Amino acid sequence: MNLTLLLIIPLLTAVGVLFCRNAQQVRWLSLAGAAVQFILVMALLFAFYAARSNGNTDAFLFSERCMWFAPLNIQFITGADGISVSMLLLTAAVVLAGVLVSWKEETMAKEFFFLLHLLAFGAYGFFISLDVFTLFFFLEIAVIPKYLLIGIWGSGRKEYSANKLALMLMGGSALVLIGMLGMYYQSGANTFDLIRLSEVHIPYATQLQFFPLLFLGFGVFTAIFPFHTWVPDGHSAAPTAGSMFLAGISMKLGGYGCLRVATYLMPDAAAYYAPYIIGLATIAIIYGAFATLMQTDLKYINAYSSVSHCGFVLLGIGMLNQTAITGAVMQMVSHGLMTALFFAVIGMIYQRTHTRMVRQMGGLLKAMPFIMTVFFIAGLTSLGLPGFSGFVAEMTVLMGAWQNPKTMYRIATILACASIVVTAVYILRATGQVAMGPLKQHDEPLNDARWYEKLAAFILIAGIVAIGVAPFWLNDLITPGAKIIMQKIVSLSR
Amino acid sequence: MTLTVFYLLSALSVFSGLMVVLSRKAVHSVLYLVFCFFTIAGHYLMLNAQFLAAVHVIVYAGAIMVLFLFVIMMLNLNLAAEAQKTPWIKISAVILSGLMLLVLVASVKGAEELSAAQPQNDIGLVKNIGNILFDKYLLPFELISLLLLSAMVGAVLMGRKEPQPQNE
Amino acid sequence: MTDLILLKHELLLTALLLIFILMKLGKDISNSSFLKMSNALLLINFIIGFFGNQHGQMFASMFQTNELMALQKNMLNGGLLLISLSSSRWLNNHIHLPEFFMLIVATLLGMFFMISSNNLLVFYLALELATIPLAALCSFDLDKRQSSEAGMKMIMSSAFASGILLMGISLVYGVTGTLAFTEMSSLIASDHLTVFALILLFAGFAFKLSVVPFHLWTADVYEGSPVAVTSYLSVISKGAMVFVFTSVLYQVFKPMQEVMYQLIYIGAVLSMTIGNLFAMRQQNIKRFLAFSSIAQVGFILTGISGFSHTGAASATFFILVYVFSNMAAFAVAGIVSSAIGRETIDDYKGFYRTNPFLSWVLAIALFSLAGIPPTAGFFGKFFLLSAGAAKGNYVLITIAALNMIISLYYYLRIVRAMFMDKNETPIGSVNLSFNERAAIIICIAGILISGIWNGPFHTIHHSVTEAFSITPF
Repeated sequence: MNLTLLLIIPLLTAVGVLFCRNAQQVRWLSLAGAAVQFILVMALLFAFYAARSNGNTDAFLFSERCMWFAPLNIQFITGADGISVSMLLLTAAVVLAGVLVSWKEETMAKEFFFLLHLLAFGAYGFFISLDVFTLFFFLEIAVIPKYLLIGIWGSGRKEYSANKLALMLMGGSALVLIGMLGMYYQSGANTFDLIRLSEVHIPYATQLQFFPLLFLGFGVFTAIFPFHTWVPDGHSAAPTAGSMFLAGISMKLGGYGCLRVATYLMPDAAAYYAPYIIGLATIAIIYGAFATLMQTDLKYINAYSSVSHCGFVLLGIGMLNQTAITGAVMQMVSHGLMTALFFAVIGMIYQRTHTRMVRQMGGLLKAMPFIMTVFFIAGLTSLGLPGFSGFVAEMTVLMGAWQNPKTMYRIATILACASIVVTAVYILRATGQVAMGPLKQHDEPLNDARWYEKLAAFILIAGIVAIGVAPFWLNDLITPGAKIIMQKIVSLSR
Repeated sequence: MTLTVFYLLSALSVFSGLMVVLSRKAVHSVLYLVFCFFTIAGHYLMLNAQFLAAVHVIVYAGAIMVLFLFVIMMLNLNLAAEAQKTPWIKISAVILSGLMLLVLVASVKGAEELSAAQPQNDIGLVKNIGNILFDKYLLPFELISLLLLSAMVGAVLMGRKEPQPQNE
Repeated sequence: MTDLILLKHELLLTALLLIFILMKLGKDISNSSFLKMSNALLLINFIIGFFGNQHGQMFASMFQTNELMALQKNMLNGGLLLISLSSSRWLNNHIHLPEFFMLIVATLLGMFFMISSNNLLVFYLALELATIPLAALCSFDLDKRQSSEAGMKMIMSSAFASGILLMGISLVYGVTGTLAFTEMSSLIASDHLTVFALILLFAGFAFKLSVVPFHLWTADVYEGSPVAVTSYLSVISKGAMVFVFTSVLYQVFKPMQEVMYQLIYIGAVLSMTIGNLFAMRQQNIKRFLAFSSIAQVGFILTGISGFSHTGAASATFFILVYVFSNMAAFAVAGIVSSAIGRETIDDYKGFYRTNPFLSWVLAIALFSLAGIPPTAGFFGKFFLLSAGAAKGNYVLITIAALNMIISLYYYLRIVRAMFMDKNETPIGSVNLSFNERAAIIICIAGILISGIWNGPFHTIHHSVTEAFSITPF
């Protein structure tokens, strides 16, 4: 299985879109591209299982490398372990759903889909890179499309939000840049090769110096506490597909980076800084949950709850044990699917009612039963109902967290558990107000979902349910990857 | 003997250089400058550089300074119209140039110990300069010709009257 | 002399200069046919530049050349061709078209000699040859006061810079007793006088490179000059200075690295920060690009401060990238300026509705200047920073990284104006001529390809390594 195919297909789709003659062609080409990507990732999943069951125990499968800039020893290395495969699955699903949801995008359709595919290109590249330089390259590729998507097709204070998002994310990647350069020179290995770097023992002082830069830098992408402010503004101003990509894929880049680069390469420093990470994550969880309570705009509700949910990812990473890290990755996948579904359905509602304010809606269940059902499912996943993915993921994180007997960790775990109750309050309140009661929109034609919207929802719900009902397949996928990361932490901290 | 002449010339050139800056009238400044150039030409002579001394007198003291005088007379700049400067600018200028002097003196102080270049004594004679100019220093010589050519093009371009002159 | 081939680049340009003069003196030729011919000549000149490059010394080793220098000259040749193509609209309507080419070829010739100089005297003369015609070019919009002012400021500031440089040169001569670079490097000792001379030399360079605090002339000159000249100043002239500075620094002043590092460090930090902070406030797009180019010099200095082959290679590579990116930005600004006569950033509001192609071009160019992948600017900046980081001075790297965010902020301002802001009276749709289109497409292709494809960087790095091993220092 050639992983570079995952780069070529989105790129070809993006370039192909530019040569289309009308919006119709653009749509179908985009859909075809996204479908091919999805099929490829599924094939990758099965190839991965097959390789593993054949006894291939390499850390990274399908690895390929070629020299890119020899004088600086920069290579182009691709490879995938279970964690990357699960992230790729998420990406493919969200891209497909995102394309379907934006089916009726008419204004500058060409540019819109071009940017969507460019963003997808960045995300795929990021998840398959095993060289920090390449990783960074793809991380930054994904920033500008977001800026343009929000700024051109967004709503509300779109220019402000777009600027804020672009600058904060670039700030994060600037931190990553300093951290990776420091790692390059101070590790003594003079390489960006992730595998090679994981083999050398980076000096303790260097780790302490550069871990915070890398972790915070990637953390900005996944809304680590003081740097989360771009999330609500960015998500609420973005067009539907933009929000889906942002929350579903883009925020996961950060979590993945924290895990793959910062924690994996600098385990000593991770252990040293773990209390701070957990502190910040707990603050994000609680703060996000309570901030959501105050919101009346559906998009803001979901954006703030994303801050809270991504806090679980960081909490899992900070706990530094195998269960918690597995849970963190599961939470990334689950939250990606759930939040993409949520934003998709909010977009559908907005298209019909032309409002996102909870108070101005009501009784929509009768008018559009399908959309409302999807809305319920998204909400229930978000509050962690068993049977859906959210429950499995958050439970795994919390179980991992409870393994840590220190008082502070216990308190953090209890607080995180408590936030689920708050989540339940805002989710139930919002869904209740929107779906039940008398119908408030009389003059709008409230038709139910179209085929493309239904298809998008089906794809995402299928993922959510598949994880929720039978979590073991994802668990099996992630655990070996988490084990490798843990091995370093355990072996080095002793 | 040589040393006496050297000190005399140096004192004169420093004095005239100072007077260039200090005199109130522009014409006086120019005249002091001409004088300064002559004293420097004297230095060149003492270094056995006859050609340089002659060129210095002819070109700088002769041609360029006369041009200066013409311009000053034509524009009638004799009355010193000094731009008003705030005391702050003056004070900071004094401090900065004082610091500069300090740095200069400090850095030149150790220069006596340096093994300075030992130039040949007859290098400044016209014949030797001619030889070296068309032999070793051919490239700089040709470069200068190109420089003059392009400067001429630029000067003609800017100085020429336009086909449709614009009156302001 | 069989080794005249070493002088190939210079001889070609001299020939061009003479041809232009003869064409001017001969029959009256219409502007468009003159432009066609000169473009063809520049193209031939550019192509020949790639063949038969050797390394060696001439004129009692006052002149030296090697593959790296040939490469650098080719880059500058290409840049000149791009300028001529992209500003054809403005050139076509100018009555003094032949003079433009004469002067610009003369300055380029000066830069070539400057790059190849192996002697302070030749270097100084070449520098003057590169500067004095430029001042005439700055005031080339003869009926505009601003343009004359720009020429005036240019000649004054460069005379001042030359003065400082000359004082440095004479002190260096006094200390070492030689003007030849090759002999100088072994005679340089780190006593006070040499350090002082070095600072003066650095100041002379800093003037030409517009390193803060020697940048004050830049904005006014850039704003007043015609766009073609502004782009020449900011890309070609600056590029040549970077090449020379790198080779002088790495070869002649090798024993003085510690002192130089301090100077470069301060210069880099100040240039990046001040250039960026001022660029944020500009309204005129040329002034804006002027300040952004000051900031870019700060990044280049960061890379050079690494004192390694990678440092030299990354600076050279960045100039290549910078030629493409800045040229694309200036091409759009120039086309708009000469077609509609507007130059402020607010005028670009709603530009995307009327000129989608030009908007994308400008956006890509700005992203490249900001260092966003997949444009070549990203690679350029990354290599510079990683060369700079080799010294282990992470304060400098942090300041550089923070400045990248600030610069992104103001580059995005223009992108936002073009793509997002609404405007009742946007700039009308502009028809591109073949020349302009060709120039823009070359630039964009360069921006998109020269980074991702590792060929250019490898070539440059290879020739840097070769060059520093041929001339033993």
